[in-house]
Amino acid sequence: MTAAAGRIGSGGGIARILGFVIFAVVFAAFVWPILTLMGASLQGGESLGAYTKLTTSPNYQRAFVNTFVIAGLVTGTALVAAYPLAYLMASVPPRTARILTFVVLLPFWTSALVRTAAWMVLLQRNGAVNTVLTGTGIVDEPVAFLYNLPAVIIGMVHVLLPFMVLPLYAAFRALDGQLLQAAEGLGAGPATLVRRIIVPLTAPGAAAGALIVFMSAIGYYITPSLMGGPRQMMLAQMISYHMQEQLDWAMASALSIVLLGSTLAVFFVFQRFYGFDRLFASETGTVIDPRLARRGGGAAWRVALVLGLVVAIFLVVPILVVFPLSFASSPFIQFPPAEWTTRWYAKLAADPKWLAAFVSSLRVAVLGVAVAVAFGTLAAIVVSRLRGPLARTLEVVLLAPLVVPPIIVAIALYYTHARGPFMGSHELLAFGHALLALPFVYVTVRAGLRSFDPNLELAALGLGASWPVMFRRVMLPSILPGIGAGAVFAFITSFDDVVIALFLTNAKSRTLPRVIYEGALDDIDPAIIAVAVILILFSLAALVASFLIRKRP
Amino acid sequence: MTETAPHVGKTVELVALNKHFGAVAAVDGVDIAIAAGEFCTLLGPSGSGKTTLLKIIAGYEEASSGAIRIGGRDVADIPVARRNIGMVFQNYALFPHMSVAENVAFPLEMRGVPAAERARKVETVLDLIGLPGLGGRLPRQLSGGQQQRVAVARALVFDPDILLMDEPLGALDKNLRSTMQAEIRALHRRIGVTVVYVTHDQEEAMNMSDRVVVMNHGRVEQSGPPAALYDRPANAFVARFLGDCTLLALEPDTQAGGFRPVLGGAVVVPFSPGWQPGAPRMVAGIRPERLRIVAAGEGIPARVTDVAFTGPDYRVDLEAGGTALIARVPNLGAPPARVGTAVGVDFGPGDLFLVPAVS
Amino acid sequence: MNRTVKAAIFAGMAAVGATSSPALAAEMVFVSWGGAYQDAIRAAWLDPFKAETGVSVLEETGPETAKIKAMVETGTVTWDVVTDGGLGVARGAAEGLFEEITPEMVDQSHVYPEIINKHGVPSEIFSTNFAFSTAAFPDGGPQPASWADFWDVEKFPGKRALYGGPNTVLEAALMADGVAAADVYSVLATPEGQDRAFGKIEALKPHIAVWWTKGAQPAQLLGSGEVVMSNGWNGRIEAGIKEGLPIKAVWNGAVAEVGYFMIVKGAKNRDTAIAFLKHAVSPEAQAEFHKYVAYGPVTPGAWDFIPQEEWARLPSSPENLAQSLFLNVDWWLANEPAMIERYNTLMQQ
Repeated sequence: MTAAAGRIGSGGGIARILGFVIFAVVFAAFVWPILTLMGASLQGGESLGAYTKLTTSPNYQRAFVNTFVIAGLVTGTALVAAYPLAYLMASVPPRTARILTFVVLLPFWTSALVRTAAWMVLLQRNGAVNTVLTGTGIVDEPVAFLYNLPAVIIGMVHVLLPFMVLPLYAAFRALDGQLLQAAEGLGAGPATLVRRIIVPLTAPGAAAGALIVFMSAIGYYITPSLMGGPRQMMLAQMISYHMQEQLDWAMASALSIVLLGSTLAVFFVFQRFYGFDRLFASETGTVIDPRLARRGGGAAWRVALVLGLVVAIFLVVPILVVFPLSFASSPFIQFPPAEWTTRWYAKLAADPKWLAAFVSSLRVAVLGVAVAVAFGTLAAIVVSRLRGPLARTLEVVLLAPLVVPPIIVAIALYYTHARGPFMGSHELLAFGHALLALPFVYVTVRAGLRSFDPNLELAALGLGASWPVMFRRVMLPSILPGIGAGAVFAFITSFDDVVIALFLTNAKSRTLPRVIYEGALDDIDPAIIAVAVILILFSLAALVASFLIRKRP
Repeated sequence: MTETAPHVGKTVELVALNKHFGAVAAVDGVDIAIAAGEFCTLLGPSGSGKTTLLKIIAGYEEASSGAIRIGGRDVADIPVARRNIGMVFQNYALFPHMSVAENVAFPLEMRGVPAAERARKVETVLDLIGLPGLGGRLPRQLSGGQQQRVAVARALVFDPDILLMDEPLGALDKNLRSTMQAEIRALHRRIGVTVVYVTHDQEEAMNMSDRVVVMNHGRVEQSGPPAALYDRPANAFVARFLGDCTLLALEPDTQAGGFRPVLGGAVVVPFSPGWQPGAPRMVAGIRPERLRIVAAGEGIPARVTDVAFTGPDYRVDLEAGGTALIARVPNLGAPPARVGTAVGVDFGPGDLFLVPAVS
Repeated sequence: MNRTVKAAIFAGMAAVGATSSPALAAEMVFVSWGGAYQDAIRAAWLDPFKAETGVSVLEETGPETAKIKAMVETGTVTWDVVTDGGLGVARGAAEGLFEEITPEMVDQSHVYPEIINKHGVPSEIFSTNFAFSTAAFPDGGPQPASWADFWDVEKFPGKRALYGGPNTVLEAALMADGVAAADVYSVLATPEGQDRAFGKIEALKPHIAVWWTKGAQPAQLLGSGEVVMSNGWNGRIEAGIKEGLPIKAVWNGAVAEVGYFMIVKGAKNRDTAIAFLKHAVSPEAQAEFHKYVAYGPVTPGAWDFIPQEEWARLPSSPENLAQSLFLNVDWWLANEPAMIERYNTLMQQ
């Protein structure tokens, strides 16, 4: 028993054993299916046939180039758009900052699918944007925004921008206001201030944001397939095409290797220069004194104000526009609507598939969150007790689902479970979602444990508590906020997922995002706009609730 | 400790204790015997193994080899929770989400003490530490000193046989620290528990303890009452760690039957019994307060290189024959010397202690 | 090891979540192509069938051959009835994905004999024709009337949309290039003919704004003004006209196809599926369909129930059939993969 207590304290036996168990579970559940899928690339009529095709057919090379060009453009655009907004957020008074944070978080909390659908409506030839542009005489002819490269960029930037703004905002928050004062006192003008002080000091935040955006963009699938044309075909779409339309496992697998390899390469390059830890840098430091920022910036601040507000509007408008749209009468989405009706809400109520899908989504999310939270928390506690190669390996394995594009997770699970008894079940989907959500839970609980004083554990044990009692009474209350944050991320991950649901569910088990996706793709069904409104209200309520909870001491 | 009669603590014996972290020996062959009710301080620089030793006593760490006996009984197989040891952590380790009363009641709760009795005991102990009526507060609503007292209360409320304290005053400012030192001493006198106290502050160690164990590199350098350690340190490390001192080179003078400082002067330190030429070289140490400054021309000629005022006294840096010396002169209203002036220094044989020269 | 761990995880998860709802006495999963088409099937056939039999029907969309193949191959068939054109039936039948339909299962003696298929029950006759925006080409002015006009960007300027797959598009391209409907497949059988078709599409490519993939898109694109002309499935175009969108259909050069309902091999609710096919192919049920979508009946008997003024909207009416070309399923079955590859390259370049 002393030995046990000692080991818990010093990270010996039990933690090591649990460490190996966790590794084995993640390996079997996550790594193995992907390896199995990779193996499939060698199957088919002739071995290496898929690779021959990959290297000879220009379509694949084009998809590869497309993927990187689009991801690069999206990252660059997001970076440029995020700077003024993040700066604005960090330099306005706290109340205004809260509103801006809300503006950034609202799309973050709103289904990517819903946002993409809203953009489709805004950007179409006689959509709101063209109506404004032609109405004000800026252009004579409506501009073709949809089904081309700009559409894909706009849609993807909108979905991914919060991932860029949030780390940058944290970087600005961590920026010591005195540094700006000092630089100013030493004679730096606004431009010098930005170039010599602000940019270098926020670069890590920008790099972290850029990595997340770029890696997500590489694996993107939904937005380009809804908003782009055949010329914007990206690798992930290609994989899906070979799976769903061609049932060509070898080709889908070979493309998956290319996609995964690219993602990992980007990741390791970043890791080499910055380190993965930076991604999860906590928000510390002081707010830049608003007066200082304004005085220090002058013209620069006014520019940031205008640009930041434009970006904020860009983030919010698509979400707001779906409200009036959901009451438009025509099934062929038009903006502004000619007549008003509640028929789509009636249609939702009448068609049981929506409620069934909603219930499925909830069930899967609850199940997935439970698994991710339990396992992620355990893993975080175990890793916090380990040192050396085992700890590092576990960290990599636990964070891996963050790096692997969801389409690969989806088809790997599909490939390994296609013949299994769990295919199409909510349990399998929840399991897939738990894998995707695991890194979020792990990271947030790990952060909670870092700020958990290990002496509290020792004290409780010394005062007579057993380990389980200590966990329940002392450790759990301390890391609960971390677990809560992880659970929220896990829930969003699950509730928002289309890609895995597309492959792992069937008519009986399909989830709400899948039904919306089918609606957007197969039907352009205006009922999905009504669903979008309900989901946005749902997110809004959750977001407001989280703000209220955080406000309490 | 809720009884008025003093609670008699238990003895602690550490026998040939070793603790290795990989290739590093954090505790290296430690033998210490602490009497029941004794206030024993482990003193040493950071990394000297004192905290590890404390954790081994508490049961948080397992010794690589050796034995720990508490009250004569080997505790190797007794888990932390059942060793009946109270521990006060450096940062107090108060449970932030529990009130003061809940914190203090926690060990009683773990021991299955009924709620009514818990409440009574908590009240008594909060009175004892001078925090009556603060039971409902959260730790973060208390000052540093108050938090410290709560941590002590929590460690004592269940009548432990031993109280372990790991740098408990490290986070407090200097004034509060001396107040708390006095309080802890008084508390110790009152309840008679055996205390093992860890600090790197030699003043704190000396003014609180019955016994000080000086540690370095995982080993015990010397153990004994504070005055003995200060006046008769066993080696240069202990001598320097316990306070300022100057080490003077010696040369044996077989005719005089003792050592003479190379520096000069008339002092002869007698050879220890059995001294032989060729035995390990010894040096003499002298504490600043023992070094007397005399008029130029008397004693050993020296020059004042610096004078610093500390309040109660002056610290005077001197140089004599290439050796830097430190003297401490009580503040009697005027500086004892001016920088740059020539003076003499003097000391008697009883002012010196001998330690082996460090090669 | 790996399997036991997985099993343990799943067992745990299954315990956490409630188990799936118990299977109902009679249910059927029906999978078609969504939109106005599936809405019509529901209204005309599924709802009456449900009312009559008490069967509960689950609907899904997108019964691509690959998905069916994946289900059949992995033994995880969750679909019962799927729908597709003749080409899809032939493609699936070649892979052994569909149950054979015997006269004992479904009596089809009243169906047009030339469209009877061993692996599917004919459900309707539909056409791929094209439509234009009357906002762009209003009545009274010149309006496109043939595939040649569809290709004529001088006379009818504006963006076009075309189907994102080659079938019916190659035929249209040849007709636009002056090939008579009757000669389309003999020309297409030669490499030169194929080059001619692809060349014609290549020439129009700069004016193609969207390669549509889902049936609802053409009406949507025309209605939203994204394009001024698009080919499309006539029923879907008709649905847009019905909703008051400013579009008009052109029948000249329409490529007609037969739609079929198939039973997936290994379907869990085979008996219910057979009962449904019987229901849908009856002349009475056939005559209902046109009320919801502009597709024609597969039984001559159904015309007795359809008012004469409706005939002009339906692909299988004698007048429309005369202007149409029937899709050559055999040619496509043999040439589809190569044509798709070439068409994809053309689209993506």
